[in-house]
Amino acid sequence: MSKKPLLSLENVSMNFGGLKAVDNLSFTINEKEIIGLIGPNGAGKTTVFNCVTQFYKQYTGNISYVNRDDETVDLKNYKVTQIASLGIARTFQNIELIPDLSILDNVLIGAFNQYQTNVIAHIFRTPKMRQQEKEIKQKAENILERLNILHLKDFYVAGQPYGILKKVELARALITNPRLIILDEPAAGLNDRETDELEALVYQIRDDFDTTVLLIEHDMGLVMNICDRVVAINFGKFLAYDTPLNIQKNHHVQEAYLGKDE
Amino acid sequence: MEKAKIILTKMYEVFKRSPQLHFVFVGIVLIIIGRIVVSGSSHTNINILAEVVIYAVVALGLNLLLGFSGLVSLSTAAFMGITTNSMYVFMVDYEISFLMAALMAMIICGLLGLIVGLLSLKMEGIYLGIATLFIGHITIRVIEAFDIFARGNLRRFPQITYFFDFQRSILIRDQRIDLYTLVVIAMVLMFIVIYNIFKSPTGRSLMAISRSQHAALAMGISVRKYRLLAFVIATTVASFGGVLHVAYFQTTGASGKWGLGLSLIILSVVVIGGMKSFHGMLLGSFIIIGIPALYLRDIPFLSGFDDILTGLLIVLVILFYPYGAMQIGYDLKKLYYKAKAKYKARVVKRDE
Amino acid sequence: MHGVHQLFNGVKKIMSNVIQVLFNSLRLGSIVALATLGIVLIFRTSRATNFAQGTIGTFNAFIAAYFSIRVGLSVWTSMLIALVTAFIMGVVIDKLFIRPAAKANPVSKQILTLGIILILVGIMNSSIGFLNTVFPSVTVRPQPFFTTEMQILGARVGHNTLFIFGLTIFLMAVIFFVIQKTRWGLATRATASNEPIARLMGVPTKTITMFSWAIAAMLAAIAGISLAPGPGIDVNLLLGVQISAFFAAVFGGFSTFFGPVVAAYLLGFAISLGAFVFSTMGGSAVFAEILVYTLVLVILYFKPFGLFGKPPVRKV
Repeated sequence: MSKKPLLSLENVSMNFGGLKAVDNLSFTINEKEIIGLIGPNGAGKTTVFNCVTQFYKQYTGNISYVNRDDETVDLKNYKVTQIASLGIARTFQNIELIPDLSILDNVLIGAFNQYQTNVIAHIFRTPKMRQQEKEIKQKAENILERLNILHLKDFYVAGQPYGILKKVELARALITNPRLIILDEPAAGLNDRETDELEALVYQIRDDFDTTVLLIEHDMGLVMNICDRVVAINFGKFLAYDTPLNIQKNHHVQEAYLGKDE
Repeated sequence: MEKAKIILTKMYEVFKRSPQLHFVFVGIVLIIIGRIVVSGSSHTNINILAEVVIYAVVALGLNLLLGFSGLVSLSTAAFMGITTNSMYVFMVDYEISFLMAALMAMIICGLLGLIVGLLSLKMEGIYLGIATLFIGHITIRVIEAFDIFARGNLRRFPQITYFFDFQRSILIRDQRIDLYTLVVIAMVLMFIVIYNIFKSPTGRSLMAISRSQHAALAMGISVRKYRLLAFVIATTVASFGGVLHVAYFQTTGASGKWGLGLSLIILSVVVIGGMKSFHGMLLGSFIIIGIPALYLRDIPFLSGFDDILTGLLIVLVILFYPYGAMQIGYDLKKLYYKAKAKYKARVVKRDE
Repeated sequence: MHGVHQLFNGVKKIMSNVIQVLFNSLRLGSIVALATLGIVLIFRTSRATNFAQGTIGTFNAFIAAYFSIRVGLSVWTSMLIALVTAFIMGVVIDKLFIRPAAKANPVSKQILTLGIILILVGIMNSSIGFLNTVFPSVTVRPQPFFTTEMQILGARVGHNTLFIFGLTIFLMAVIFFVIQKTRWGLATRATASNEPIARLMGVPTKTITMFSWAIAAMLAAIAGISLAPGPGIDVNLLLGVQISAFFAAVFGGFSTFFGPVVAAYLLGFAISLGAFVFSTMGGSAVFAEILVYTLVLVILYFKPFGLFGKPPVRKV
């Protein structure tokens, strides 16, 4: 396995009006790793994601990322809308899909950056635009097929079961050609069978789509099964960064979850 | 014979799958209806039909804003008025050709749309709605302040040369149908344009910014850019409606016509026709503008009651068909199938 | 010495002119303030943008005029009757139209009020015997409350203007007192800030919304009756007031009750003053409105929730 670093946080802190949601956090993740980010409720996990994807810009510290040309860049220099084209894609804790668009169209929204046509071309449906639309649709259908939901592509998102919606969000993230995919609680709301399927899926994402995976998850079983390494935080503070096995033995982590033995 | 059948079914398949062709078909039907109307005794009704078509176009532009992008505008009518008045100045005072004047007026409105769009970056909901009302109100006041616009009084265009040497006058009875046909063709083109936008990355992005800003941002869609775009498109389409008003009625319309009242009427066409609906705009326009003018006014007992009935119609549709009047069609279909099933069951029972 | 005296006289003349403009704007400012308070009250309690506020006022101004001119009752009795009809109208509108559409989206509710406008305008325009006597098609000009006038600081001020201003301030004071200090006010504020939660807490939100409509309709009626003696009543009596009221509501900030009222007077004074300045310079008074509203728009760009408003709280 390669050990090239991909994303690295150095002393990242984020304040919400005096409340330190993230407190001096540092860790580095390498290419093709599957990393879990765990912590009790309110530990600041989603805030970390929002800092990485530049939804929050007021953080201090440094978040660096190795782009497609192997250059290390400071993510703060990019707008939130430029993050996707850098190769960082994410899903959301609460499903963020467009209910009155079909599943296929929802996935196509992820391909936004790959269209090289403008509104004028869209109005007149130029041959170039049609060709591109066809290619990208094909790509979207391929992804949907790999996630086993191709047969649902023409259905509206509204009214679909939770497990399907999670997959659509995943497909939308995958079509952006990500190098790093950030999953916010991918197993929340899934039943046991779907969670098992998700496990296989995460491996598939890493291997077939050649990506690194960073995920927040409460399902410890899932985290321990699939993650190469796990970052544990509490109240925004770094607790441990180790293999799942060692994390389970780490007494800081145990304290955070179970409380201190007095 | 077999071959013809295959070709026919193939054509039907193509037709079924192409909404653009549906618009063309509706256009042809509208033109046929127009021809029937002008040959009949109440031939002036063609004016009302033209109005229905024009407001269907304007409403579709507003629908792109409201239904797709979740933004509201209360000055749609004002942009039509700006267009008619500036076209008059361009064509009569500066002797610019019809098409060129139309293009320039639409660009002006597009730029005004950009200003509204800038406000929309800061405001939402009713704040934004009233901010758009401000812009419409101010521009109409500007028209009323200057002599070059005849201080907002209605002015009739002299003979208009539309393109090449195509000249028609609404004052000549037999030429109205040609003008009407022109308006319908323009409507079909505009419907296709907006449908194409809707079914493109642009359309999907417009929906993304209104339904899930976070997802839009994470996928690289700039909320600001697409809000601006939504307003520019909507005002340009409203302006196109103004161009059609000039093309058919050949007047600027008095400044009082282009106020909040008409903007609300256009908004009600969208709500009654159904958000995100295309054919619904024609239906809505017919219900709100066509029915009162065509039928209610002619019934002696109801004279003066047309406003009340339109008002009641609006209230009833909103209370019972919150997703628009096109929904009535589905309900009728359901009733039909229910009746059919019942009939079949009865037949089966009788046969037993 | 002579120059100073001249300058002093000049300043005095300008001052008295400005004071005159101020008093002139008080009447219209009060009328707009009454209308805007009704709009804000309805918006806050039932999430509906009431485009019908002006039409409701016009309708009831017609009724007051009918009783004072046709029946021959005093101006005061006629106003009381119109207030009762306005109250009933507000309740009916809430019961028949607004409540059943509680789940409709805000835009549908706006259009619902358009439907109310069309129904009311249709009734006012109808030529059927009885309706035509109450709502004649010619402009009717009822008597103002007072016809006398007095001098204040060199400016001539009608007692009518002072009465309308006083009445408005009194009504505002009562309404603000009720909203801020009483149980009903607390219930109204609770309904305004979060209707579902308020309902769960046992606040009778339905009654609150109903009374909001009734009170808004009464405010509209007072606005209409106050305006009527000037231009005379026709169907479009309060059209301009309605639009000004919206502008005042947004300029002052929908999220407060007093902001829109202050803004109504501010806008009224600014436009009157502008019109005065433009007309002394030989320009058209329309420019004042254009200038003031453009300025307001620029201010709104930087303070999008109005002068006194706060942005709505939103969870990320």
